[in-house]
Amino acid sequence: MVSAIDAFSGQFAASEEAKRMMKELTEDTGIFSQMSDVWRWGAALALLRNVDVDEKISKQKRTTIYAIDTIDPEGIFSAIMLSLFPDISPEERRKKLEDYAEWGIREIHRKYKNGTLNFYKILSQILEESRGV
Amino acid sequence: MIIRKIELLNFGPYYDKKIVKFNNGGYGIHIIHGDNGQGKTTLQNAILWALYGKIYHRNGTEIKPTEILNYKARDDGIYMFGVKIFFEHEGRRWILTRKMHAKTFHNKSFNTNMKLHLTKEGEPLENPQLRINRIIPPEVSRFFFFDGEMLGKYEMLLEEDSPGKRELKNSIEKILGIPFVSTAKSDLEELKKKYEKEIRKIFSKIGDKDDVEIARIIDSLENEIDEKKKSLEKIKSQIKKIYDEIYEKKKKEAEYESVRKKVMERDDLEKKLKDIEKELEKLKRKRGDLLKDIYKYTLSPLIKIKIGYVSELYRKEFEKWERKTLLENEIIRIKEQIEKNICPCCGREMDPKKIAVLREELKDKEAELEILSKEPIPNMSIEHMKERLERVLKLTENADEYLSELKRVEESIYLIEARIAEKMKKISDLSEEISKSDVDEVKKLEIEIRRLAAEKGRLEKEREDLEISIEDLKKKKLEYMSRLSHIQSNEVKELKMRVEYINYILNIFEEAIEKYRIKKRQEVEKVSSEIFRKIKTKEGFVGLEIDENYGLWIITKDGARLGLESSAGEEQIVAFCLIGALNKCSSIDAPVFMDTPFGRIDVKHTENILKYLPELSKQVVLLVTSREFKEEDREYIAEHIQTELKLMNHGYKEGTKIEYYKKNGGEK
Repeated sequence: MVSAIDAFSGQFAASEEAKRMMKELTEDTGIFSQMSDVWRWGAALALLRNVDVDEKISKQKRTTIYAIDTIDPEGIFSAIMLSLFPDISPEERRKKLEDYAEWGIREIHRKYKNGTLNFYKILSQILEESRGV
Repeated sequence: MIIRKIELLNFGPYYDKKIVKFNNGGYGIHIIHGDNGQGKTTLQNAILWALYGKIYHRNGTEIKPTEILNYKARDDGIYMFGVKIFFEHEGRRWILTRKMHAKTFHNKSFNTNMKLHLTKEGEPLENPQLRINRIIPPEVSRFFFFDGEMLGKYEMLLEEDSPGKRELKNSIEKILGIPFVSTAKSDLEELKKKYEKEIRKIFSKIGDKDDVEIARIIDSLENEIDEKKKSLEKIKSQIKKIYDEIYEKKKKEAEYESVRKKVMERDDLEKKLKDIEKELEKLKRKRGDLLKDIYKYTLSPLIKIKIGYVSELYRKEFEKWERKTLLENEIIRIKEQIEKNICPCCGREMDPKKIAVLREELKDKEAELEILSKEPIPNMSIEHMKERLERVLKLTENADEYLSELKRVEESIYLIEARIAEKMKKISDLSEEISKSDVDEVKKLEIEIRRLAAEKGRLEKEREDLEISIEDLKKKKLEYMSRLSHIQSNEVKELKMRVEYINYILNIFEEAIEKYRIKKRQEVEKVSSEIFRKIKTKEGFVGLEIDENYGLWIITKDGARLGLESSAGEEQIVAFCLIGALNKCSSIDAPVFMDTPFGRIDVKHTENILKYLPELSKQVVLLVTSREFKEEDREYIAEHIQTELKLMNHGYKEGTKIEYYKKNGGEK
């Protein structure tokens, strides 16, 4: 029997569109070192904002891109996902996290395109909000 | 010359007939206000066009008649424009009218239909253009119709060794009347030649055969001298032409020199750019490293909230596991007890009732264990998860440090990217400028300059030879003349005396021209220094010095001579002083029109120039914008202002109108 609190298993997937954006934000521009960094930050932003991921994004065809360990070597995402969605299966949680990442990657890319990708500003705003400033 | 009134007809922005009338008979200071595009420069150009029939754009190209004609007049099918100037000169009233009337809107049609009339006291005069040119020669008009926005052109004229400078020297000498003295000298030489010819004619008549032959030789020598003089003049003009060509080519070469400098500058910039790019790469790597953890900082507020849940989950899971273990042990113990059927307390056989209780207890515990067994196997990795989340929180405790590092790196990247963009723009501009130049052209120019220099050398040698040859011929001629001295007649005596007088006057002129030139130059120097002292703002400057080529130097308190290049800010002021001095020292009586004179001059200098204006000329007309001439400036010249007009363009239909200027928009 599989435990409901099991960590993710298998591989993470991403849509072609997200892959293209991640490539642009890494290889093409040198902003991020690796595509997985974009993926993780995108997922984190979406998780923090608890966004409703558009069905269009959610249903987009995805192909595997990363092993679980590459994305979540410290199990941070699995812990957070578990705390947020304890009643769904790890498989569903992984899928949900992918949705978040898809949304977040688009958001980062959008900010990059319109010239508002200011890491300091974005992060300090997040932290200030959490401190209640 | 004092201009009393100007009538404009369909000239530029002036539609139909417009009149500019100067009060006080034109004497005094007159101010014509008008912001950009209202028609100030056109008004000044209208006067120049009336005087000389040609006007030029600021870039030096001629303004064609089709450009002069007012747009509305053109659209109305009226192909006629003109200017009428009413002026006073040497106590007489003159009217100058120049008109162009064409049947079709073509420059050719206009140019073939130009009409010029000049009257003096109502009487029409012949050769009007010649007469106008005598009143104000076109070459010197720029010193009287002064364009402030063209100060740069005057500065260019002050450049060393330029044809422009020679032109300036000639113009200045003309304005000072030096050519009149030179002309008088040439006239005397002509007269001398005429008398000498007459003497020879007499010799041919009254002398013997030998004398006739000598007179013939002298004639032929005279002709030879004339021919050689002509050749000399030709060579001199060729030398001048070559000199100008060399100047132009050297100027071009200097431009190529600047291209070479630009190539070096670009290479240097590219090298610097590479270093900056390396620095940028380093910073980007640093940012990339920082961004590896940004998700942790982003998640930290969520982790803070959710870590409690994970702890609770862990606690519950652990409790279940502990209970299960306990139940399993209990079940084993109860089963053993039932099997052994001995009381663990007294060692006797157990009561069947007690066994029944134990069996009941076993049943309950097995049921509880079964429920717990249906639960998933306790996942101990939750404990690790909790620990990991705690580690994240621990890590993100230094968020402020992380943020400031991120900020520093991002700002540095931004600044470096801006520097790169700036450098790339510069490199691209330089590359574009360089690409326009033909590098082979430099070599061609060098060869051409060498060829021209050799040609110049050859011609100079030829000139020297000719000069020597002319001198020899003159000596020879004198020698032959002396052979005829035995012939005496009253007529010859009289002519010889005249020739001697002419020689005497010529010698005086020879010295006088140079003395006059020096005197006039000193006068210009003195007056320009006076003006300079009045309008200068720097205490350390005491005056101006003008060298023999009218090159200007600023003299400092400690006697040092500063070239204009060492005091770029004063260049315009110095040019103004020269123009002012030339106006004052001139043998030409003309008004001074100043179009946007203060556009490039600072407030203090403007104030000083304004104070000086009443001394500049009998008639000074200022064409000013509201920006360069403010209400408070009026006080410096208030008592001298005779007329104040305003040029106001009312658009296509009405064009520019000439209105009375109202101070502060009200008082007239």
